[in-house]
Amino acid sequence: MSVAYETNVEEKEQEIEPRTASDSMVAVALFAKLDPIALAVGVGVASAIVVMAATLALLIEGAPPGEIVGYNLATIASYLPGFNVSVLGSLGGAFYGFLFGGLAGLFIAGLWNFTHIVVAGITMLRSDWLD
Amino acid sequence: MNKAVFNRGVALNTWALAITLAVGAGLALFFATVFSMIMHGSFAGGYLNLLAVFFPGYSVSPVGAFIGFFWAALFAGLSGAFVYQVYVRSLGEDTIKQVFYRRDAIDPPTRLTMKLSSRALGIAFGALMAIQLFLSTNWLVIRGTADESRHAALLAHYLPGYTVSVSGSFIGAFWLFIYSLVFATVVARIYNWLAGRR
Repeated sequence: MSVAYETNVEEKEQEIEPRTASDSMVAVALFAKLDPIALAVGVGVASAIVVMAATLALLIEGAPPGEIVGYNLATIASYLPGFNVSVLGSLGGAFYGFLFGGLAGLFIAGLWNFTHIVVAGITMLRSDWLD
Repeated sequence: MNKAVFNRGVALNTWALAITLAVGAGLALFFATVFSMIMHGSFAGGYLNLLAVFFPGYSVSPVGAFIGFFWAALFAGLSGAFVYQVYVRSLGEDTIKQVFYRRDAIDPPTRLTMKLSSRALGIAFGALMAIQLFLSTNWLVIRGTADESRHAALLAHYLPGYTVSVSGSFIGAFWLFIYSLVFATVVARIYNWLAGRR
């Protein structure tokens, strides 16, 4: 059991050493793909925090007498139905932030990977023609 | 390491991120314009029309949607190229270490998954946002509409000391750099945590 455990640990991650990296390893490392789900969650969570914090910051700051708190921020409700500058609205805003941020992350990773597949394909075709 | 291969890969990645962000931002503004027209008809574009200050010819209209696509794609494309160049320059040759590489992978592996350096991404994204705020604020100053720019002035709610002025652009750029650095760090940490487990 202990031998198997040690083997598994050894087989985990290692770093590529830039000084000794072969040409193919440099190319493969630079053409690494983005994980779409991980990027979607990363951008989604960060965006959710931004929208929530922006809303709560206005509530904490308040408004002068006779003025509505966060009047301008509230106008994004025309794009985000149900959003308003309130504690409950900040949760709704966080949901939208996660949704749109997640879609942005998914899109960026997807198009990044697609671009690399296209470039790799063209490069392979060219090298075939040259050969 | 072969520098020529490295530089070629960096150049291709710069184009890849530029194209990715250009298409994304172009489509986002295009559909935001169309959505605004559908939802609000002749009253559309109360706030979106303000983009005409930075995007000449843009308006919330059928033609404006295409002009907006062009400008948004151009600016986002340049931004993408800037972010990748700063990211790589921050890391240097260590850029090729930013992958999840397992000992048991076939040699050479065909496709690896990228790691994100939170430090390099934070610096690159922070610098981009700071420069954009600096330039857009000073553009308002140069065209002589700084005093009328009450929407830009609202940023003072989040960027303490910010005003639509030359000095305010430095203060705002500083705060936005900090916020963007934190934002990018959160993105990179969550991404690496999840991608490393998949």
